[in-house]
Amino acid sequence: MPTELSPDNEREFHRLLVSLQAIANRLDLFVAICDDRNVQAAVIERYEATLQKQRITPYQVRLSQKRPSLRASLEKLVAQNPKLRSQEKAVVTVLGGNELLGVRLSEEKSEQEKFFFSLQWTREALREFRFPIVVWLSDAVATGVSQQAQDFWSWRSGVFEFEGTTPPLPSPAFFPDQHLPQEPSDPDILTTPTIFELIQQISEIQQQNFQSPLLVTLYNDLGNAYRKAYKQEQALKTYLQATDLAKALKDNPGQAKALGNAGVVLYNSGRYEQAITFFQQALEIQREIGTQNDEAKSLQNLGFAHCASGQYERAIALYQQSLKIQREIGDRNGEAASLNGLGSVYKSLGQYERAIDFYQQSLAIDDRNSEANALNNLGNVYRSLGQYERAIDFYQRSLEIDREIGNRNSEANTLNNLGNVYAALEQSDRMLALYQQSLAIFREIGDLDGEAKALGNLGNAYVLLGQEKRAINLLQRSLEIFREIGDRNSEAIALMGLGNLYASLWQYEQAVDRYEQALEIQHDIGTRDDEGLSLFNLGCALEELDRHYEAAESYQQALAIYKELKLDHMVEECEKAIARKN
Amino acid sequence: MSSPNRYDRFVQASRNMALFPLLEPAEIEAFRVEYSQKTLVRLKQVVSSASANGKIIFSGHRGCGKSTLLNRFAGLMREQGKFVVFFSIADMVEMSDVNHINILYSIALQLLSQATRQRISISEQTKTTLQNWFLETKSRTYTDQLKQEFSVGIDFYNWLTGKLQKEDTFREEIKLTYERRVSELSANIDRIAAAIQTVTKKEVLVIIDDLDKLDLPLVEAIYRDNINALFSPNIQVVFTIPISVVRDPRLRTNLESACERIVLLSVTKFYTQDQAHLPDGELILPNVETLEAILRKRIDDDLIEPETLRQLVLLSGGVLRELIRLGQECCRECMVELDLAPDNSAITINADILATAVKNIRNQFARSLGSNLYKLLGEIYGQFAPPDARDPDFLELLHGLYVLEYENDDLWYDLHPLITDLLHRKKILPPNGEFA
Repeated sequence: MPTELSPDNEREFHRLLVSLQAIANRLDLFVAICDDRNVQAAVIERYEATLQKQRITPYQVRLSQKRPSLRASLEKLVAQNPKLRSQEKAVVTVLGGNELLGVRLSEEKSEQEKFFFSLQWTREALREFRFPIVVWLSDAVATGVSQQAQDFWSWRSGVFEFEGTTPPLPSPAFFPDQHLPQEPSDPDILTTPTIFELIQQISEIQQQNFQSPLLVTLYNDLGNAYRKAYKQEQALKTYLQATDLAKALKDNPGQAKALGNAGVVLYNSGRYEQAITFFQQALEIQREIGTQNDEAKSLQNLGFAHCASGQYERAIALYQQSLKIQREIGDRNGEAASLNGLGSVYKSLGQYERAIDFYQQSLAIDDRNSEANALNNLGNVYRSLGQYERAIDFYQRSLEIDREIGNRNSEANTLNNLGNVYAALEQSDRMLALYQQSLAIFREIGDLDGEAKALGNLGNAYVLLGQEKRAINLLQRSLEIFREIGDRNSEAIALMGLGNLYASLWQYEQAVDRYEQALEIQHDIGTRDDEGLSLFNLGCALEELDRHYEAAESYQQALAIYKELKLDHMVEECEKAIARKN
Repeated sequence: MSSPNRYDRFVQASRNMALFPLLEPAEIEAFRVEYSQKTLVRLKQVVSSASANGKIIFSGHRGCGKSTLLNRFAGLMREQGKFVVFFSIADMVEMSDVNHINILYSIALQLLSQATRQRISISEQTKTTLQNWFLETKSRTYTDQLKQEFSVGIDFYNWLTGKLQKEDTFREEIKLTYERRVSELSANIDRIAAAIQTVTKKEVLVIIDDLDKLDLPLVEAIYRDNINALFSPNIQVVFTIPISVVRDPRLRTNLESACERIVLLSVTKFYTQDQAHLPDGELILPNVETLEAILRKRIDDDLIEPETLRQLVLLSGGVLRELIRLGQECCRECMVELDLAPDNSAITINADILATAVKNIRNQFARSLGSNLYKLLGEIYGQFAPPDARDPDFLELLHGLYVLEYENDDLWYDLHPLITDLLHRKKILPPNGEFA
C-alpha cells in the first residue's frame, strides 16, 4: 500500500522522476532528502516501478554502518551485477544514509563523519561508474554533507526534498538560551511533556552550573524519556552527553548507567555489535567500583545482545555469569531474568526440554513479574512443541498475574501470544479478538513497537482467513511503524511476513524481493537465525520460479548458517530441501 | 511543435548540461566555448618565461573550470614542444594520506611511466636501475618482500600505483625511507627527467591536478612545513591549490617566496566594482555573452527566452558549474511542467521557471551556510572586502563559493548572487533588486 504523497512531495517526486528518466549512461548524483522512512519507501517504490516499465533497471545498495563509503558500496554492487558495466540503463538507489549515527561511539569518527570523509574527491573516486545514483539522506546528514563534503555537494545534479508526515520532535540543544516550543508536536502525548519538562529543567540547571553533577541524572532521565518515545538517536545523544559529563565529573556509577542505557538504545535499533561494546564498557566500570547487581545486569544485557546476534554459546556463558552473581547476592529478580534468558537461548537452539527446565526454575522464584514472564515463555515453548492446550494454560495463568499487578505491557504481549496459539489451532474468531485486544492495549499505553507487532500478527491472521488484501495493508502498516521507530530487527521480520504473504498468493517475484530486503537487514545486524530462515524461504520462492540453481544456493547458505549455529532441527529441514533439489 | 518532442528537447538540453568537466574530445568539440582565454594565455606565458625549474601555482574557485582549462593547457604545451606529464593526485595516493613525500614519489613514478608508455628509448640499464630504485626502501626485509611480490609480466607502474593508493604500509615505508632524504628523491626525479630530455630533446613539465581538493589541514601541512622540499626537483611543475589557501595570509608569504608565480583563474565578472550593487549597473557585456554562449551551445534558442538567459547567467555569479547547475534545474522544471500538463507545448524557460529553479538552488545553498555567518556576509557585501582577511570564517566562505573573488587591478569580493538574494529575503540586506 504505497503511502499517498502530499502535494509538495508529489511535485518533488515528479522533479526526481523526470530527472531519472532523462539520464544518459553516465554518472549523475541526485540527492534525495527525507526524514520519514515511510515516505522514502513510498517514493522509491513508485519511481522504481515507473522506471522498470521504461526499461531502466533499478538497483538498490545500502551503505554499511561499519564502513560507510559510497564508493565501496557501489563497487560491491557492480561486482555482484556485472550488467552495471554494460550499456544497459540503470538507476542505483543508495540507502542507509539516514541511519548513520551522528554521535561518536567508541571510534574517533562517527559513522556520519566517516561517510562525509569517504565522499571527498568525488569525481575521481566515482568516475568509473556509468550510471546515475540517488543517495537518500536525512535532513541532518544532508546538511552535514553540504558542509563537510563540499566537493561531493558541488557535483550534485539535483536535490529533492521530501517532507515527513509527522513533524519531528524538537531536538534538545543544551544551551541556556534555547528557544523551547510551547506545545508538544508529537502525537505521543503521554511522554512528550516529560521530555519537555526535562529539557526545561536541564536548561535551568545549566544556566546555574554547566557542569552540575545533577545533570548526569537528568540526562539519563531525558534519554529514557526519548527512548520511550522511540526517539532512538536523540536518546543516544543524550546518554552520550551523560557519559561525557559523568566521566568529566568522575561520577563512575552515573557513567556506567549512561553507557548501559546507550547500549539498550543500540540494542533496540538492532545494532547488536555496537550495543555489546557499550554493555562491555559499563561492565568494566561496574566491576571496578564493585556494584555487583549492576554488573550482573550488564552481563545479562550482554547475554541478550549475543543471543540476538546468534552467538548462543557466548550468550549462555554470560547468563551463567550473571546468574552466579545474582545468586550470591540474593538478587531474586535478576536471577529470574537470567534463567529466562538461558531458557530463551535454548529455545532458539531448538533444545526445548532444556528451555523448559530453565523456565521452570525461574517460575519457582517468588516474584509476580518474573512469574508472569516465565509462564509466558513456557507458553511459547509448548506452542513451538505443538502442545497447544498446555500453552493456552500457561498463557492464561500469565494473563491473570498481569491483570492482578496491572502490567499492561505484559498483558498485551500475552494476549498476542495467546492469539498465536489460536492461529495455530485455526480458531480465527478467537484469534482475531485476541489480537484486537492486544492492539488496543498497546495503543492505549502508547507502545509503538508493540502496536506494530500486533498489527503484523493481525495481518498474518487475515492471511489465514484468506483476506489477503487486508493482510497486506496491515503488514505494510506494521512495516512502516518499524521503519519509523528504527527497529530494524522487526522491520526484517515484517518483510519476511510480507514475503510469506506474497508467496501464499503465488506472487513469487514479490516474495523474493521482500525476502531479499529482509536478508539484507538481517545480514547487516547479524540476526543469524532469522537470516537462515529468510534464506530458506527465499529458496522455496526461487524454486517456484524455476530458478533452481539460485534456490539450491540459497538452501546451501541457510544450511551453512544453521550448521554454524548448531540448530539441528533446521539443518535437517535444509538438507531435506537440498535432497529434493537433487 | 508537438509536446513530446519538446519534452525530448528539454531532456537533451539537460543531458548536455553535465556537471563533470569536459575531458572527452567529442564533448569538448561539441560544447567548448573559448573561455578564460586570458588565463590560459597568462599561464602559457608564465610557464614559457619561467626558469627551467620554476614552480607555478594555479588556483581558483571550485567549479570555475580549472580542470577543463588545465587539460587544454597540457595539450597546448605539448604542441609547443614540452614533454608534459599531467595527472591527478587522486589517481596516485589515498586522499587522507597525501604528503610532500608521496607527491614527489608520484611525480617520479608518473615520469618514468609516461616515458615507458610513450616508448621513449631510455636505455634498458638506466630503466632497470630506476625501477629498482622505486623498490629500495629503508627496511631491507620490506624491499625483499616488494621484489618478490613483483613478478615479470605485470605492469610495473600500475602495480606500484596500486600499492601507493591502497596500502598504508607501503606509504608508511616510503615516508620513512625519504623523510630525511628528500634530496635523494628529488635527485631521482631530475635523473628521470634528464633521461627523457636527452632522448626527446623536450623539457619536462609536470602538471598536478586536484591537490586543491585535499582537506585544509592536510594542505596546510604540505605548504606550510614542507614547501621547500616539495619544490626541490629541478623541473617545471604546476601545482593546483585551493583559493582559500592562497588567500590565507599565514601561508601566502611562504607560497610567494617559494614559487615563481601564482596564477589565478578568476571568476568571470559581470560588473566592475563601482557598478556591482547598482540597481541597473552597467554590464561587462563580452563576459556576459561568453557565458551565454556556453548555455546556447547546450540548449536550443527557442527553448529559453533571451531575457531569462541573461538573468540566468547573471545569477551564476560567473561560476561555470553553478551556471550549468541552474540551467539544468530550469530544464528539469520545464520537464515537470510538460509531464504534468503535456498540452503546454509552448513552454520555455521563462522568468517563472527561473524563479522556481532559483528557489530550489537557493535552498541548497542555504543548507550548508550557518546563520552565524550572515553578519559577516553583510559586511563583505557592504565593503567589497572582508573586515579581516585572516578570519577563518572568511576563508571558509571563499572555499564554499558564498563569497567570490573578482579581479580588476585590485581584488574585490562580492557575495554569490544567490546569497545576496538569500540575505535580502532574510532582511539582512535591504530588499532591493530581488532576483526571483
